[in-house]
This record gives sequence, structure tokens and C-alpha cells, in this order.
Amino acid sequence: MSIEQHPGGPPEPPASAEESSRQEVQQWRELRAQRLAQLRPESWADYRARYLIPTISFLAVVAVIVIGGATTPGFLSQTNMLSIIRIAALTGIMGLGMTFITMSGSFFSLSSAQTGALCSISFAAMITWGWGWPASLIVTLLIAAAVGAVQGAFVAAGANPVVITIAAAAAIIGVPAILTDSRAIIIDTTEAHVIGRSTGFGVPIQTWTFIALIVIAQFVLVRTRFGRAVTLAGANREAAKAAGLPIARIEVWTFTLASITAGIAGIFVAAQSNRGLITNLEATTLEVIAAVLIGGTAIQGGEGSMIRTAFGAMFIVAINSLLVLRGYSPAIRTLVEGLAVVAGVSLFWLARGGAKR
Amino acid sequence: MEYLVATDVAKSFGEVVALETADFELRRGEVMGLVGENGAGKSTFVKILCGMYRRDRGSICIDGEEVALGSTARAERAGIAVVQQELSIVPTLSVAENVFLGQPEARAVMTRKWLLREAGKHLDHVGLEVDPLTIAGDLPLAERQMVEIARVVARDAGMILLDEPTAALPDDDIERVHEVVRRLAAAGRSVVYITHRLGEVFELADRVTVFRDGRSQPPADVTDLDGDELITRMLGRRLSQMFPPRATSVGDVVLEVSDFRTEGLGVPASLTVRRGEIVGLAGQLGSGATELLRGISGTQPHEAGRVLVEGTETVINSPAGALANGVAYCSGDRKFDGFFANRRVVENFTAPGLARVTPRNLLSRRLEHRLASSLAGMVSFDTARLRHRVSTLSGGNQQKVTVGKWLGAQPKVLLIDEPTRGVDVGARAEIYRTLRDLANDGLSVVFATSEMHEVLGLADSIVTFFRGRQIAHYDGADATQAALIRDITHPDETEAA
Repeated sequence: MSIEQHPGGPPEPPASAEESSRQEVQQWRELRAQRLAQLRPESWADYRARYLIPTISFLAVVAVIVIGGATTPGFLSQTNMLSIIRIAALTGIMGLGMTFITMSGSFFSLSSAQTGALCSISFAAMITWGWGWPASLIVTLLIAAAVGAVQGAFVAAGANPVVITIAAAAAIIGVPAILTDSRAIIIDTTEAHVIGRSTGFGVPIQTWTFIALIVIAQFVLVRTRFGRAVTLAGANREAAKAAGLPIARIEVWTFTLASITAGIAGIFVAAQSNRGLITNLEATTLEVIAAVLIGGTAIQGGEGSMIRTAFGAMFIVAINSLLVLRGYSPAIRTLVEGLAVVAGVSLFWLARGGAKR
Repeated sequence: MEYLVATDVAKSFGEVVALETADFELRRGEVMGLVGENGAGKSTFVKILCGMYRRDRGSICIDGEEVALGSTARAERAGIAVVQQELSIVPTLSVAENVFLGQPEARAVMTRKWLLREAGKHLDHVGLEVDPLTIAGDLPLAERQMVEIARVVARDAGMILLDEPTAALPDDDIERVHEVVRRLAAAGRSVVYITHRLGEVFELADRVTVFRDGRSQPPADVTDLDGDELITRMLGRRLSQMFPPRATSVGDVVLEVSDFRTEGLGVPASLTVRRGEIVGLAGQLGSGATELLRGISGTQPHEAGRVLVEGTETVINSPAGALANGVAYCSGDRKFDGFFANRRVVENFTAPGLARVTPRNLLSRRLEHRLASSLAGMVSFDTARLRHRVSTLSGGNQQKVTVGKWLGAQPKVLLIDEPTRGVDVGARAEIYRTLRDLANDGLSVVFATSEMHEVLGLADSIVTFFRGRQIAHYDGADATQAALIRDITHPDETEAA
């Protein structure tokens, strides 16, 4: 087992303590000492970059929970908390895929919700055809991947990602709308319950999937060649091109990943509600974008983290739930969500040094 | 007659002292050169003068009266105008509209007639003879620079700060900018002229103020100085030799380019590069020298020609393809496509050689750190700064990262456009030495430049370019400055001239 496969912390020095490896050990000790020294911030700017920006979305979640718990009865109840983490999982899973797109400098996909709806319908239909849940799941995700890859290919060819995904959103929702006549496809068996309604240790499977995907996505982002290429492509597209990074392939893959995560969310919705419907996940695209932004991913790319996107999603969902419990209308909730995005983005702008950058 | 006097001006950012103390004086109608290495406090002082930073202490008086200069608007009202290094011309507007951009005297509705008349006046002041209704983006760089100056002049400022106005200009056009500066001074305005080209100081300035290590030196008459003395004042030490010795021997042909045409290089050009050799392509902006490098590296498409790398015919259509064939191209515009400003130095260093630090597609922090350290060593970049973001580095250090990162892709040939643009004297010498060391280790280097002393001092062989065609080929040791300048400015005129 080679050392680069240990993601966390400095790995063990090589076991065979030969003459040659003594040097290695020495090198490692130095590197470790260096890392310790690096934990101390050097300046306010450094502090901001290293500690403030990464924790803003986490602190926002904590703030909502504390304020909600203190002011609103029932907010901290088990049912409400479970409902929050179940919904946050859907927004969050989609957010992880979206973060890849944003990190690479291609802003957002505006077809996430529609891709999710398409997948909920295709999954429900396949279940009713008697395909069984594993086959339905895999085929549906392949459809999602194809839909994303096509959009990514357009973007790679030079199309504006926003324009392409708006157009794609209409097309993606149009086809199943015609085929189903905009009616729900009802799953009348318990075939999908294993995906939609099972739990582990009392926590819904959606949330477990979310947690697993956070870990995987974060690993891919910071510890793989692909993740680094995505980051560099967003940090400076021209420099990335000059450095020989495969920009077109990166575009296709980021959009494919975003589409697959939207598909996963769509499947969860269908499996949980037993319905495939074109209005499933309606209007979640903006919530997903809000999650990415509140997580502090730079809108022009090249800076961000999956964990922070996850907290961004929890924040959006928690504040929504709080407003529901307090009896506010959907209009007010949308307004608050919008204000939270504006506040979050402004805060990051200030934390990154304001106009000086 | 002192127009502006600054006494003991200082500025810190947190614990970082950017400007320890600066004393400065400026007479009416004088051109004051302002020089200093990057990080010497020069730009901090200039930003205080034009209201972008607030000073921590010290006084600034204009005509004997203390001024606050708390914001750019206040500085403007106090009569201080700035021509920034990065042009702020709006390329889609006409020249006349640009002149009145943000101008208090601009009208709400500007008719063509009014624009023509009023803008014409200001353009006359700077000696720019273009139709005021031309779209600014269509003008050559030098003329856009003059539109910028005209705009500043239109504000009727008593003092005009020019921040490296000629950094991106070829020699011919520099003279036009100088002419404008002389006019302004003759009209009684005071000019502060910031430059990295020391020759300009002697050509243009009456006096010069040198910044070093966060302090200003007392102003000196340029007639009391020579080039060496000025460099010594900037560095605090004598620059015994700017350039390392030439290659003693070169190896086999590594890169052979023949009948090569690309946009901006209309007449087919040829080039032969040997192992361990440094080839200098001399030419002004638009001469075809840069274009040849861009074409070879696949950064811009080539129209015709053959490229042989180590004797094998190679078709290169993209930078990635060039790297795969052992050819790296380092662009002259490092901000645009040279570095990743908000990422750490380590990540910048390892970008072109990413595959080397990601065995089985997984990133190895150990390999990455090792590669970055070794590249840093090659370009004498301080390894203690490997974790800093590139945007926080000085121009010289940014250039080291920009050049050094290509070595990670283990190229056989390194093509560099303007290797020392926007880099101070001390760092320049270091970059020259680095390139020579690399060449001695077997790398072949081809660089394009508009600075004649650079090709003369560094290159083993020299090729000159003029308006999209190759002019001549020289051995580095035999070339003369006169011959090169003739080649790159007016190769077609007879010797008698």
C-alpha cells in the first residue's frame, strides 16, 4: 500500500527501515513540523482565508439551530430534525454535483431540478414495468449521465453554460411531460421502499447516502488529478488550457456528475413518495445554487469545498423549516432564502478582502 | 518652486510594513522619475498619493497646504491625476467618449459636434491625431495609452502620475508617449513617471527618487547619475554583472522549424535550436517574434510549416500537444494565462506536470511537495513561500513561478515570451541566471523580447523580426545593438541612412 492513498494526516513512514528510508523518515518529520507551524495564521488575511471562510456556512447552520431551538417549539423535535436532514440530503446531494461545475468556472447548471424530475419519472416507470429497483436505479442514472454529458459537450464546444442548461431544462422536462401527459406515475408496490423509506440507526437512507457522497466528492475534489484539474480550470481557465489540462473533458465530466447527483435526488423523491411526476423537485435548482454560494464556493470558480456546500444545503433547508413552523407563507420563505444568499455572498466578498481583489 | 511636498509618510498593513518612511518633493513643471524594485514601497507611496490607500502618518502638502487625500475623488480634486498601468479605456466606446468618461465637465447629452470639438482640444494637447469618433478598441496600444493620458489631462490636474505607461509598448511608440510627457511638463504640469526601464529615467526625467526597502532616497538630478549608479542605488549593492556568461558549447539540433506561417507572421520563418542553447527573438510588438512562439506551441493555429522535435516531424495543435512533445510555452502575459492567482504556489508549480504528482490519478501530497520544492530550487524561489497564494507575491516572484512551473512538465524546449516583463532589476538578473543554468543543464530556451539589451546579453544566437517577417540571424557574440535596432525598426532603409 503506497502512502499517497492515505487521505488524512501524514502517513506512516515506510515499514522497511533500510538505510535509504531513514532519509524518508527525516523528510517526513520535517514536513510534519512544517505543517504544524503552518496551522498558525500569519495575518488577518491569512486568518480569514484559512479559518473564517471555511466555517461561515457551518456557523450559519449552528446559528439557525440555536435561534430556532430557542424561539420555536417543535423545531428541535425528533420528527422535525429527521425531516430537515432528509430534505437537506436531497438539496445537498444535488449541491455536491453543482459544486464541481461551479469550481471548474462554468457557473451553474440550471437544469438540475428538471433532470431530477425526469429521473423520478423514469425510475417510477421502470419500477411499474417490473424491472426491480437495482436495474431501475442503474438505468435511470445512466440516463442522467447521458443528459449531463450532452450538456457538458455543448459547454466544452464553447456554449454558455447558463444558456445551454436553461434550454436543456426545457427539453428535459418537455419529453416526459408529453409521454406522461403531465400525470404522475404511481408506484403501487413496495419495491422502491428499500431506497425511499429504509433507515439505518434511525437515520433515513437519504442522509446516509448524502454523508457518503460528501466524503467521496470531497476526496475527488482535493485528492485526485481530476479534482485538481477542475480547481485549476476554475482558478484561471486560460492558464489551465496553457498548462495542457483537458478542459473539454473536465466540462463533460462536471456536467455529468451534476446530472447524476440530480438523478439520485430524483430517484429518492420517487421512491419515497411512490410517484414519478414532472413537478418533483420543482424549484430546487435555486436552492441548490444557494447552498453552493452560502458554502462559499467562489462564483467564478477555483475555490470551494464540498463540506461547505453540504452545510450550505443544511442551512437553506433548516431556515426553510423554521419559517414553515412559524407559519410563514412560501412567498416569505422564498424572500428569506434570497436574502440569505445575498447576505452570504456579501459576507464572503468581505471576508475575501472586499473590493481590493 | 515646490508643488508637492510629502514628509515622513508611512503605511502598514497589519504587521506588514509596506512603507517605512517616505519623503518626497515635486517642483512645478518638472518630470520626476520614480524607480525602485518591486516591494520597495514605491507603489504603496503612489497609491497613497492618488487616494487609494490612507497614510498611517506623515504630511502631504500641495502648494504649502496640507491635503487629506482620503479617497480617489479627493485626490482628484486636489489636482492629482493618475494614468494606471492597466488601461481603463472602454474599448467599445469612441475615443471622444473615452476622453470624457467620468469627467465632471461631461454633459448629460453629448452630441457628435460637441464631442468632436471638445475632445479634439484634449487630443491636440497630447499630440494624438486620430478621428475622435474612432472606436477606442481599434487603436493600437500606444494610441490607446495616449487616449488615457488625454483623459487625465482633460481633468486639468496640476500633477500627473504615470505608472509604467510604456511597459507594454514597443520602442517607436514609447517615443510618442515621451513626447506627450515633455509637452505636459513644458505646460507647467508636474509629472511623476514610474518606470522599470531605467533608460527612460535619463531620457525623460529631470530628477529621480529611488525607493529601496520601504524607504525613499533623497531626490537626485539625473545629470549627476549614470546607469550603474542608479542600479546601485536601487539594489543597495553594485550590480557587477547582469548577465551570466554565454554557453561554451551547444549540442545537437532539438527543434527545427521551417517555412512556418501563423497569424501575425505572414512571411514564412525558420528556426533551428540546439540543445543547451538560448535563442533570442528580437522584435517589437506585432513583429512576429511572439507569434512564432505562440504558433509553434499550438497556442494559436499555424497556417503552414514543418516542426521537427529531435528530428521527428511533429504536428502540434494545442498547448497540451506541445507539452506532450516536450515543448513548453510561457506566455508574456502572466496574469492572463501564466498563473493561478488565488491558488497556492505549490499548486501553480505542479499544474503542467500534474500527471507526475498524481500516480493512478490520485494526488500525492508528498510527490507534489517534492516536485514543487525542486522546481523552486531551479528558479531560486524561496521555498518558505510555497504555501502562499501567487497573488500576494511580487512581480519578480510571480514570474519565477510562471517560468518555473513549465519545468515540471520536463520540456526539451522552453519558449518564453518577454521573460522579464514587469520584473525589477534584481529579479531580472536572477531570471537570466536561472535560464542560463537551465540551458547549461541541457534545456533549450527560445525567448522573444522587445528589450535589446536582453537579447544582446543573454542569447547565444539572435533572430530579428519586423512586421510579420524574419529579418536576419546573428551569432549572439557578434551582434551589435545598432544592427538589431535597425532590423527591428526599419530594416528596409539603406545603410546610408
